Amino acid sequence: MRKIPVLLCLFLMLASGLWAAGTAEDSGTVTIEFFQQKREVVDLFDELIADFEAKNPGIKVEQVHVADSGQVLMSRLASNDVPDLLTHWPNNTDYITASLEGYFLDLTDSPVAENAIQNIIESITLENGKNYCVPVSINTQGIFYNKALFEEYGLEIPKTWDEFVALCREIKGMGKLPLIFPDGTAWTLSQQLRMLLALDLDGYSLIRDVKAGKADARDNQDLRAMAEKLLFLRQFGQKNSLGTSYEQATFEFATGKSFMFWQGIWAIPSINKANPDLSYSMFPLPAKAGRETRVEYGVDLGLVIGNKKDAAKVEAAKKFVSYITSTEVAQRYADVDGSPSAIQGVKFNSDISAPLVDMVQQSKSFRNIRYLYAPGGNGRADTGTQQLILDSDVDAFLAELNYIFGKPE
Amino acid sequence: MRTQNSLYRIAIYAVLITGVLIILFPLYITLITSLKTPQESARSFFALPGTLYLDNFASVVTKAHYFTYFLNSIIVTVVSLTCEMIVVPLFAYAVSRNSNKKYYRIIYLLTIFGIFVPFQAVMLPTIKLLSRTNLLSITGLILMYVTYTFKKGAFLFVGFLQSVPRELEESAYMDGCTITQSYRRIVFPLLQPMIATMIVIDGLWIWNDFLLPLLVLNKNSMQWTLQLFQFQFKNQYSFDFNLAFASFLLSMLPMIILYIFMQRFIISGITRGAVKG
Amino acid sequence: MPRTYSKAENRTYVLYTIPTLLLYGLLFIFPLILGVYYSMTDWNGISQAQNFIGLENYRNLFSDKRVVNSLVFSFKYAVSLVLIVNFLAIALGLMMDSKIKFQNTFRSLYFFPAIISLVVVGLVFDQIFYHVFPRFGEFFDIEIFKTNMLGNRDTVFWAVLFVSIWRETAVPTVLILAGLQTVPVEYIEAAVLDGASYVTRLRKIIFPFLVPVLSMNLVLTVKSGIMVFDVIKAMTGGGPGMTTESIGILIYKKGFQEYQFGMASSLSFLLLAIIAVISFVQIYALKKKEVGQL
Repeated sequence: MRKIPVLLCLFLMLASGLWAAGTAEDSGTVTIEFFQQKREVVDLFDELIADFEAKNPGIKVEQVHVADSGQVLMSRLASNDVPDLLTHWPNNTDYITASLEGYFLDLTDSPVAENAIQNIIESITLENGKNYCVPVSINTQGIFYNKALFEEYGLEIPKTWDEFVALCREIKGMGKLPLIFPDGTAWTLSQQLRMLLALDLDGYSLIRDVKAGKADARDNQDLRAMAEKLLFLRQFGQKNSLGTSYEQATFEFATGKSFMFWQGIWAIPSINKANPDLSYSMFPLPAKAGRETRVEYGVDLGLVIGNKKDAAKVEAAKKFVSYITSTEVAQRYADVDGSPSAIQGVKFNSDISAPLVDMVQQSKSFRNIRYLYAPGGNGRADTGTQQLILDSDVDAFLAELNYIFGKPE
Repeated sequence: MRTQNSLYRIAIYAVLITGVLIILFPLYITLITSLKTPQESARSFFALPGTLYLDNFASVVTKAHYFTYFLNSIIVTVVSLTCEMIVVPLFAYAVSRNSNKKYYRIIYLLTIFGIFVPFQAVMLPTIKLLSRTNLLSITGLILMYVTYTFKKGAFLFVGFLQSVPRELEESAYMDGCTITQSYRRIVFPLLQPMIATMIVIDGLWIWNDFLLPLLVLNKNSMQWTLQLFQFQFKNQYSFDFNLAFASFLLSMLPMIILYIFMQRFIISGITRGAVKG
Repeated sequence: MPRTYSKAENRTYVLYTIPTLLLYGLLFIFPLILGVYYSMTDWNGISQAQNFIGLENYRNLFSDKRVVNSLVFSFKYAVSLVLIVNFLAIALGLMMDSKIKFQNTFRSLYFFPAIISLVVVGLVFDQIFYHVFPRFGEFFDIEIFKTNMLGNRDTVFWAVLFVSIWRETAVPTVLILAGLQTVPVEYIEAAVLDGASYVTRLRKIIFPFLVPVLSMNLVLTVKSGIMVFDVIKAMTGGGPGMTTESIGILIYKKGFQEYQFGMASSLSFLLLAIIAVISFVQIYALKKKEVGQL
């Protein structure tokens, strides 16, 4: 009779003991969780964190990088479990939705953000006038090209859309592969979608009109032409592009399988890792005839602090943000990442993305359009665009765009 | 007649061996690829490796905290099974010895009902609840496994116990034993084959499960199990598929070794559980 | 006639049921009720407020083409899996049960896939489909193998199904093999003496004894087919497009990615209803068979 309650107690103790072990913390040190969503810079952050911890003995930073980070973050927010510190993309509607729901710390005019370039902060300030993100670096996208191959075959960088298509035809005519498409990875497709939405048509007013119920994506001829352009380009890609993932395509481009690769500058660290000897550079994707060629810009690494009651953690997180946004550390980050910095006084040293970055600096650029999507629109844009590549059903795709843009029912 | 018979037999061997080759092919690819450098794979993909190149394994083990994940998997599996074997037979014993009472009939029906509910139906609110109660951790995962093995376990244990005659317990009572004593001395030993079966079935499930760790443990990389680690590893090192295959092999290895030594026990456990269920 | 228990004994019995019931109530029944509530709201998953909208999510389920697509996929998948796996299991079981050498070795090898986790199986095959099959395709000049089968809408279903079959045939085969041991040798010998053909023996003697095992296999494969998640998550994530979006994958995507938590909850209760119906049909059919057997 005595033994069973003892067993029960043991069981409960075991459970609660493990539980306590999971939450207990050394007094004196503050541990903050850094939910880091950019896979390309995990290694770099490990180094930066080690340096930070050496300089701030009272603080420990745990970098957490997971696959499916978007879903994980969403399920954690669903239960009010916001990370102490995280990276996010301020043009992403998921970020905007969560910000407006109060999950993130309001950083409007906060001294934490004082090192960041004011223009960039303004560009990501939400419609309610608030800002929840400290921008660290900027991204843009365009066409990577293999310099060695271009020189070997005497190819020129195209200035117009027609020249671009002619170039693709020429390479294909030589029996080589002009472009490699990572269509197996759905987000790379919505990345192309959002680029064309702003490059080839005035997507901004169109999305606003669709949202207001004043327009229908299915009736828009420019959208139709854009969808057809996405499909048209596939003839210059590898066979069965949906079978190639982002990682595989990056690797194939880095090892010289294709002449060009449409991707964001965030792929630079991965390309360098896959083939440190590759000689490559970038040029902007030309706009369709009659429109000026411009490039997209958006915040690539944005630091966001969880809106938490634990003041010690918030303070520690702020300290880490200040450290990362110091000119010296931001410079180190920019040099490895190959991205232009959003921090004042940081020099841009990467010649690979220089042609695009120059355009951003000359304001021949537009803001990443996806901040206008409806909540959840990001995920639907991924699946929807991949479905377009799969079945070439332009009508179904345009109907899906109505959802993505948030057309009232 | 004789030649026809041996023709049959040859055909049977041919089919069975083809099947074995299909089963072993992925393992062969995994093994040889993990032992090669990318250059060697590019030269001859299917050939055996020329030299034993072990750097892939070394980088998985050193770079990726392999042993932490291995240990986590062990802890999750062992603790879940231990807890299950403590609490579930107790429940089943109480229910099977009181099947004439309303309370026990209701709770038993409620449990059986759970078997029909797919996990995905309660997935979203469960995760929300675990998160609210600060249980997105190994502890929470273990509690989930005890809960989910309970449903089917209760069904199997109750079925088993109802077939065990009560005379022994009655006579133990005459000798002055309490319920707890007769459970410990008489009933629990009788349950051993059933417990062995459940350990195999639930152990295989818990060790290999991916969905629950994905939902519960994704928060903290130091708490990942081997299966979850695989999924993450795919993301980060997929440029180097030799490395990826090395990690696949390392995560299969514990089970393969266990299987080599305990295959009879494992197979008979699975069959017994299925026939009873 | 069992004796009546004393008060203390009754208390002990009740105490025995407490730990599991606590867990079960907290981690299963409570979320289930919570889920019913969410399925009747328009909650996006993270907003502080939500509106009660009654059964609207359920009404909207069937007008959502992705939901319909996932239902069609899951059914097609489950039916194919059930048919192929059970056919293979019976065929392999019978072959292994015939008088051959190395019977135990074959059994061990055929059971092997069951010990490997589905997610690792999926990841290994993901690499194999990209790196290995195209080499076969080039070598033997077979068009469909030449590119990654997971990226082609005509082949991705079969590619994913193949991997599931590779893994899921193991347990049913071993169960059939065990079931065959329960067939009394005398019956078979008598039938052989009577000159009954192999097919007749199979129909009249062997299959009746296999009924319990067959229905067990059916339960196993139907459930793993309808609820498929791991292997798809590891290989295609539901893609390309929505080609391999099973119900499970769609619940995960809608719930955690597309801010339709309420809708996803209602979809999960649709899945519950489907599983319940299938289970009851199986139990009913099984009862009938057993009576018929006597």
